[in-house]
Amino acid sequence: MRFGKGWVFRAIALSALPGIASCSGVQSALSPRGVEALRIDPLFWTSAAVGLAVTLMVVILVAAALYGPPRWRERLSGDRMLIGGGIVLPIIVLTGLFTYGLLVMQAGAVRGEQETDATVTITGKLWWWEVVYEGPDGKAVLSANELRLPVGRPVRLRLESDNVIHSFWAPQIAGKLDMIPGRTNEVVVEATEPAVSRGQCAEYCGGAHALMAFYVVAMAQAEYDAWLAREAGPAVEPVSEEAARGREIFFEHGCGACHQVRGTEARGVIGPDLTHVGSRKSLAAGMMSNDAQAFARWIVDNQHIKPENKMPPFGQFSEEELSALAAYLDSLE
Amino acid sequence: MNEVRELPNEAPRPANELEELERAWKLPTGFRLITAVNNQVIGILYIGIAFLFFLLAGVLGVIMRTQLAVPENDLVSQDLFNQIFTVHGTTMMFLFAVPAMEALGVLLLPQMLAARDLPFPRLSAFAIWAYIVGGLVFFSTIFYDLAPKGGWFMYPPLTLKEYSPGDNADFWLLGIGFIEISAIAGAIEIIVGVLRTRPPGMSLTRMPIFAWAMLIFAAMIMIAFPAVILATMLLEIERSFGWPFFTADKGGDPLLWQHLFWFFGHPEVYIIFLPAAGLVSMIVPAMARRPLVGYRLIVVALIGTGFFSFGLWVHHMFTTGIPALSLGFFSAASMAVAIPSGIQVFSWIATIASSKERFRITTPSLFVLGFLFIFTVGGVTGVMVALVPLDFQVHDTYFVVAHFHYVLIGGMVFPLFATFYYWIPMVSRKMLSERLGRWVFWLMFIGFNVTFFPMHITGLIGMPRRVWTYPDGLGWNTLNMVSTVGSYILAAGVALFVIDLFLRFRPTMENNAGDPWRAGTLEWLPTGAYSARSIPFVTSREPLWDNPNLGTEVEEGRHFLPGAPTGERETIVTSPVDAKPQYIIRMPGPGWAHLVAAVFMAAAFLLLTVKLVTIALICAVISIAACIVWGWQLDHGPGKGEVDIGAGIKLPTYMAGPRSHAWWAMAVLILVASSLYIAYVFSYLYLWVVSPEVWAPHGSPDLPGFGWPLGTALLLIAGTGSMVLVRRMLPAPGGREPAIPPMLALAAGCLLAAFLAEVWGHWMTGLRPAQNSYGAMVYMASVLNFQVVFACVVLAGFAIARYLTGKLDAERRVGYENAALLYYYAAGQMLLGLVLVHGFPRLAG
Amino acid sequence: MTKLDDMRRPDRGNMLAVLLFITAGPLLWGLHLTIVYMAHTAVCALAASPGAATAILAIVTVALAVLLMLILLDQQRFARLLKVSQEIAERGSYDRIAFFLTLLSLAGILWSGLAVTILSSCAPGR
Repeated sequence: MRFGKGWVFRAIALSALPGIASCSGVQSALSPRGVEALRIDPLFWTSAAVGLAVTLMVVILVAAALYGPPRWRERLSGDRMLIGGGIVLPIIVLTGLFTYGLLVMQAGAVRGEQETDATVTITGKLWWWEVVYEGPDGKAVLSANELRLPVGRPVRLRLESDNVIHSFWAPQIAGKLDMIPGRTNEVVVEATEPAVSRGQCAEYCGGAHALMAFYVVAMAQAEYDAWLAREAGPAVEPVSEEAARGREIFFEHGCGACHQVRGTEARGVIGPDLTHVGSRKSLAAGMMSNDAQAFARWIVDNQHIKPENKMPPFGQFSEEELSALAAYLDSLE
Repeated sequence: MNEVRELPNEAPRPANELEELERAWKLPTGFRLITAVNNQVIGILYIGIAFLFFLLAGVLGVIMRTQLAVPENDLVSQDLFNQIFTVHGTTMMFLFAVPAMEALGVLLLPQMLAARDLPFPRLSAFAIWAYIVGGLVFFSTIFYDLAPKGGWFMYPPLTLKEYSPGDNADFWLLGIGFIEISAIAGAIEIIVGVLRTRPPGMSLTRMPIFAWAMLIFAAMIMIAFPAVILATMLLEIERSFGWPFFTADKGGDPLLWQHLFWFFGHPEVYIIFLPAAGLVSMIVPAMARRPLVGYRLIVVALIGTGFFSFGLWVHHMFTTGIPALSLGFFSAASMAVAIPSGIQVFSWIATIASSKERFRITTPSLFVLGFLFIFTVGGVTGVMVALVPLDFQVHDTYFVVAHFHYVLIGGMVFPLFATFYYWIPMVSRKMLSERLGRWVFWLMFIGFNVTFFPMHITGLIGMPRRVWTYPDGLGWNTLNMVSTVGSYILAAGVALFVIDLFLRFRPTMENNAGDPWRAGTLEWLPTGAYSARSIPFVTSREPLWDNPNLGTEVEEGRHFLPGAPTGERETIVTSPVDAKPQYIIRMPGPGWAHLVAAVFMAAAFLLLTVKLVTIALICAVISIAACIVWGWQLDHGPGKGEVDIGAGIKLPTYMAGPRSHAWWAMAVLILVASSLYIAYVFSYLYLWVVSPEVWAPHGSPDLPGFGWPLGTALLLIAGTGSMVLVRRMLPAPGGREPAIPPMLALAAGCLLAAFLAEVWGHWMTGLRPAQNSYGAMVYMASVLNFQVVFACVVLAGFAIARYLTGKLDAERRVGYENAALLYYYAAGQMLLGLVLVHGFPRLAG
Repeated sequence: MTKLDDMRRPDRGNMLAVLLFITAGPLLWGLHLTIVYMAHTAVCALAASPGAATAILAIVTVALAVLLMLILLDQQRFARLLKVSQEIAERGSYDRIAFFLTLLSLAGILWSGLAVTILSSCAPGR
């Protein structure tokens, strides 16, 4: 058959799909761990199955039209086939899918209007995320590049941008929603199990768009409350001598002009808040694992790790100074 | 039982008739070949350049795939990659897909309609040269780090001066804006060509499907392109002068761009797909040796797609936070547009099934079958992304990248390759190799699916589009590597095709390879530089099947207009519905004016991009002067009397008024201008809904008093009255009417004064365009007015010059009519603008 | 009379009438989309009344759907109304084209109606 090779390949690819889904990574929409993502998942599989059926039908009909016995071919070339297959069938199938899609949408819309007791404001920056929680006392708690969620509780995300358009997407939790200057978009998310997943900016935002990721950490309610209380507090005092020396270097070199470390005189708001930076999953918006070495590399080599980012590289430190600075930052848990 | 066939003319024909025809249509030789306007010559040039852009942008695609083969690759830098994908998308959409389809319109339409040429040969040549110069310069920016890097849809604020300093984005805006103008010129040509230059007897319902497809294609360009032209104007003005259309702090809205861009961008996909579907509907019956099953339903599908595709633009904005029900409406429209595709697929299957004996498997039919499969998959994933919640997940991921490559490569590139293999015998001495063709097909088909099918999965498991690299450990590595391997296979297929072209493609107008497929439509008639020797009388959809002798009859000159009775290039203009002969259009031959106009217009736009304003203005003036020279030669006047085209039908060789092709072209141009203005009205109201707080009278200086708009309106009415009077006063041929020049000047003066009064009135209130989005919108109305006012003033001056040189009278009046038509439109647009700008804030405030 | 004689007679086909006749369905579909989209946006932004929005959308949808059905039911009268000549070539083809285009447009309008039925007005997208 003429369609041979291409078709065999496609069949293999399609049959491999569920396999890929089950072992897919932390950023996969096919391993949902949030209420919205779980609602979209069956819609995807349903529409994919319908799509597969339609494709198969077309392939079989083409094969029949090409090589079928005359009687089949005659039936295929009639008006009834044309109107039945080209108009009636699509109308029925599409009405079904469309209704299903609307029902899922309505469920989301209803959820969007409900009251939630937690709100997190996330602002897209060039190229990182500012994340602001409501602390236990109602005060704003500044953090960055990581979203912590209490399992089983709906949280309202307020998505904003003060520069270009970004799009917030944590595939395991929910679909994406854009961050548009001048607007605030809201979505209610709810993690269904404690897990760490990854998300990434989905709307092209120039320069280092590819390097603008974040982690979502879903944790049990009690753990979350404890974490939030700690996050709301000021930075810990350095315990080691090296870290203390690092703090001096941090201030001597003016790092506080761009970064904030609550509880110190560092009040900068240009770069990410560093108060508890050591406790985050990653550095540089999901680009590096979080350890002292990574801090050192970032300080010296950040324009290579994340080209065009707004932080200048600091190459003036001696090796000792650099490791002290890195140790201090790493200690900010 | 045989009906006696009466033919329009007797054979044998007078001896010198063919010679005269050949002389009229002779190609210029040597370097003067660039002044040629014959549709076969410039059509091949057009499609050749479009194909060159396909190859160039394809190379960029392969570079991207190479960079993405492995995680954390640094073969291509971040900045270069961002430029590459922007240029890849922009080139494929604006420099390849649309021009390639217009090129096929230029090349194939006149042949299918057995017209000697399109009605405005120099206009198509102009559009092509402008596109060649503009396109090549735009593409070359990638070589010196000047290429735009905002993605092919260039969303602000990223593309505003603040986030995109440098000239990169301006190259996109001016370059593309300019190429859009050339596309519109082509669309005018195609609309008038399809509706007015069909052979006698070819009613709308007997047109080849490709003609239907091109008619709808051109109509869609008329409606869709003005939206993006307005968008590029707004963005360029904001970048250059700071008028805040898209800046949220000053009452603008970044989403306005998205609305305008996608109102163009979504139909654009169908603009590309419809002609390709039309081509498939031509090839399938030829290979089946049976008429298309469901011709009328295919027409339904083409028209339906044309309409419904305009209701889908929010489809691209599902994740911008628009209310649920609004999304629902657009999701519904996305469902509606799927049905016409279903109709077409089933019609092709039915035609294949109806084949005489078996459907012939040739290289064109392989590409058609490949298209059927790929397009079905693309359509299916299209329905998936139209389901709003599912789109929340897959939007802006590789799933979408896979989807639109299935739709675009499947829906347009595969039919285009089928077209190459199918129609090259019509324009070349040799046909392409059927043996190599099979290799080309299988390499491309397998390569395509290996490249793009895995991307569906890559997207679902989290990979966003437009990333220059990705980290290890997310499960994306294998899939990306497979895609890269596939892209090399695809590229090998295309390369093999290029080799075949070099080996066998030998363009010719006289000794083509003939009709190897035994097809039924008129492009397979024997032809010369003049196209068919005589223009056939058509009584069915497949004239060559219904009358196997038609080729001989046409060649013997026994059909209509077998010679060149006026001694010049000419073709028959027929009525739009039933194609009854109406008059003979005398068409211009080779010339320099349109070429100079095109090159200098391109130069003006490009120099403006690099801010060499003075030289740019000089180029613009040269271009306009060349346009005037060009226009001056067109209005021949009725001097040649009537000619006999056969069957006792005598046709005039000159036509003015609503029947003339010039009138039709102006009407189409006015439709384009009005869709531009409607897009403006939408933008004005949209920004008001978003930011009513900056609107007058509360957020901005109070509007000028009622006297201002009233006075402006009176000026417009006076000018219009003067223009109407001129029509009554036009003297009989040879007569004089000295009042005509002052009356025309008065009309032009009134229009200019009205324009100035509108600007001045607002300026006096202290309103400034850079102040807020309201101010910007108010003055934008005048920017749009300026365009038409300027054109009207030039045309009025032209009409005055025609009168003074004795070339304007009550019969020979096309020069006046064009000016008058545009004038009435301009006055109407400005009156509507007065109501909007002066009335709306008073009403809403 | 031969077919050629027909070419000697003037064209009875009025381009605009034919165009309007076959595209009436899609044009009304476009009108429907414009009205419901703008009405929904405007009512929600200005009046913030989901009830009123739904009522208006339902009325517009039913009205236009009924209009399209009437056209489908008596196509010939509609053609006469638009002064589409009976004498143009293959007149029946235009009827058939117009019929199916109107049918598809009706489906499009009804799908919008389905959205109005299922989704609440003025609610956010999520």
